[in-house]
Amino acid sequence: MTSKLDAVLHQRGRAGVDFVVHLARGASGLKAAAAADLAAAVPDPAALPDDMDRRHAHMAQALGGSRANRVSQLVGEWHAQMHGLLAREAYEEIREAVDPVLAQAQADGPCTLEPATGPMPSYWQGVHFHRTAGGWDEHPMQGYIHGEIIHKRLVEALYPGGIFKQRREIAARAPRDHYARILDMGASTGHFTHALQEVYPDAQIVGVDWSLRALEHAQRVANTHGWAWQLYQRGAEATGFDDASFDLVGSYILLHEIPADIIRATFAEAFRVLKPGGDMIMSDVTRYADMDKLGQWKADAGALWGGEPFWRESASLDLAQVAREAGFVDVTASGIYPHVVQGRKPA
Amino acid sequence: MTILDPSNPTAYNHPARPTLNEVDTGALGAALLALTKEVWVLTDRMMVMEEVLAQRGIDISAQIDAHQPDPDLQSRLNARGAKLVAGVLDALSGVARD
Repeated sequence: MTSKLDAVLHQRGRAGVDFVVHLARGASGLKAAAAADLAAAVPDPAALPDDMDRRHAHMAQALGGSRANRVSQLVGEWHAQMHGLLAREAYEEIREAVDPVLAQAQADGPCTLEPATGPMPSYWQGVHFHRTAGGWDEHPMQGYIHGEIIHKRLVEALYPGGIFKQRREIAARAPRDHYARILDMGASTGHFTHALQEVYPDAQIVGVDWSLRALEHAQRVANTHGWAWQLYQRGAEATGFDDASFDLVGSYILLHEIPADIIRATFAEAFRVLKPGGDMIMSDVTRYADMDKLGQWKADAGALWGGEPFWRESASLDLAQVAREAGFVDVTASGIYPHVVQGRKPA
Repeated sequence: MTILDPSNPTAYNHPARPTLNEVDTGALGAALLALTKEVWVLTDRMMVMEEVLAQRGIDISAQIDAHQPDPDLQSRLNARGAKLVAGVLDALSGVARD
């Protein structure tokens, strides 16, 4: 389905973004060689050091002789540095045509957006999550660049149908057929919010996120569909909403972007704002407890070089236990990726 | 190697990541030449194409900018792009090609 927000790129920008996809696909032989070297270097993952930092040092030494591994690091580093810049370049080529469309989409419609008035938290301010050039908010159109170019052209090409299909499936897992009022924690550019609205078309949806640029694009998405989302530039850990004011609280792949203490506060906040009997559904990345030591190292290395400061402490948490500690009952945790935790506030 | 610390999350923005070293210089040169050859083939083709079209009175640069590949062309572009990348990376890493 097409939308007036779709990024219709010019040749240079399109080919530049597509090259990132080609780089991933064309590296298949390299990846196979690197995997073979890795298997030879680590015949017994259980023997790897328990401490993750020591494990990184061990692996650096074990793989030091692998050219395939060094080139693989180069490819990963180039991707990390360039994907945001190439997407930005693609936007700059079409901005004259697209800016008026985006301005109108943001201004005309029922969705509201309230910017923050206070300072951003230290765990967010200045951090280039995913090593996106300039972070989430430096470029004035970063929400559009990330939501429409990086996600819909680049990520979707590498995981066809995957990321949006996953969001709809997770949204549909909430136990009731209807929810009057839903809070999306970490709404970003509105991808999970969109899924929630599709699954629960009559629901009033409220979204919070620290990124104003991302929320601006969520507002465009909502207005384009005629959805009256209420968006706030606030943290999930302290939303400021009334006690017992939501029927469902959810998040999708937010938790690994925040420190462990903020994750605990986020579950407590979800519990506070839910009505008695209300449902919670939080999804995040694969738990380290569900991997062997080599898998943990791979995930941790990806985080280390991929602009994910809080991945390790987040993925090391037992989210079901965190949910129970926050007061939730009937807590379940399932799935490798995404890992989905559900619970209910007692009636 | 550098061990990053989440108490300073901005340190993750530009980590000092080890990639190639001096052992890789020869392969890097081979990869660079492989890439240069591919770029030249394309440059040659573009110049020839524009010349042929200009001789027929057709200016296509604006149309190229605006053109949106259909699924068939996109598929062919994807295959060619992955092949180009594989050629460079295989040369750089010393991976044997069939």
